[in-house]
Amino acid sequence: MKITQFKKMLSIHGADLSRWDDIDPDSIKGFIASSEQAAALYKEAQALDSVIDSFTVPDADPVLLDRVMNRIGGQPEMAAATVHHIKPKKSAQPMMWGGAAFAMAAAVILFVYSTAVPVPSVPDVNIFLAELDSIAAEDFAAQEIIGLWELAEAKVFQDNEALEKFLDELFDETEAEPDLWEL
Amino acid sequence: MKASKALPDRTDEDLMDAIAKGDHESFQILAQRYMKLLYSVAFRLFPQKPDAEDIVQEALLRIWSKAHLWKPGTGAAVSTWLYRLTYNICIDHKRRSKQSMTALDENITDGRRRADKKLQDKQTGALVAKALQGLPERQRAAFVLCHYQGLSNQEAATVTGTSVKAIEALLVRARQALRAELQKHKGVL
Repeated sequence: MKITQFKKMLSIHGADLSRWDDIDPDSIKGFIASSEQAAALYKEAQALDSVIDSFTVPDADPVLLDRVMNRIGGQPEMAAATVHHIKPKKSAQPMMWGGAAFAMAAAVILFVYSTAVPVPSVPDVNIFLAELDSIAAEDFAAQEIIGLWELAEAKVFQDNEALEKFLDELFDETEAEPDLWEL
Repeated sequence: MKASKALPDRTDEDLMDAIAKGDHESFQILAQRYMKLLYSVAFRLFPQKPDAEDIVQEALLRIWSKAHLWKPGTGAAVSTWLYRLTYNICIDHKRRSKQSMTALDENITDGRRRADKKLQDKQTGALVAKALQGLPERQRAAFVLCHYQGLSNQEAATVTGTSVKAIEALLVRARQALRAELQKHKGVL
């Protein structure tokens, strides 16, 4: 070891050789014994450390921990709050089941309604159009058929649109699952 | 609620995991394990008992409420995380209230009037405390963590969010400044 390195380590770590990183304390002791300058510097550092170590810490208030335990005793859910975030809210489940049952009931009602109204089903319309094709030469008849076809189409479209709108509203009311990564 | 005296042999990591789930007993064990260390850091940075106790109380409450933020297996020891938590609270505390040196000076003056050895030591300790208070914040933190708490330079760098080289430079300057300050008082150095 050189005196410059010795001075540097002394100025960083002080006289406690166990703090000197990666340097064998015995080799430092040997160096101190072999150099008057090193010995003088080391003695100085020891004196400084001794004074610095006279700053002692009084005992903390013995009831400090009890005070903290009382504080957290009043907040039992504080730390566990994180666990709540990764579980779905309990209120969300009945809402979802209720919503699903409601949607199914609505779909049944719509189905009954749509079958009660005299709107031709898709195969029926095709047959109807096929039959009408044969008399397409007559303008009046063709216009009437096309009118009926558009009417049937509009009715189906209207019903689908109503169903979609209903389902959209239903799902908007259903509480979403909490996002795990929003914690 | 009385603090239990026994410290069951559970690792810090186990305790942190249980604390994150709201386990009071694990929190109590960890708090008992580290309270004295955290208190000594706080007191050496703020040498007034009420301040240091406030800091430790806040640190312990934060451990309780933030335990879920500590991630096992990331390389940082629980103790380093706790030191950092306490260090951050100390920084906040300093920003919130300027440290009053009046009480410290009165203790020193009072000590000078008495001759017995114990009070002389107390007086020297108070001078050191005052000299430490005179250091810039980062120098003081580096010195307290490394010299008094025995942290390695790497650990101190992690706690204070700086590099090992910076810690070394801070330690050198802190030691020089303390020596210069203490040499002003006859018979101390």
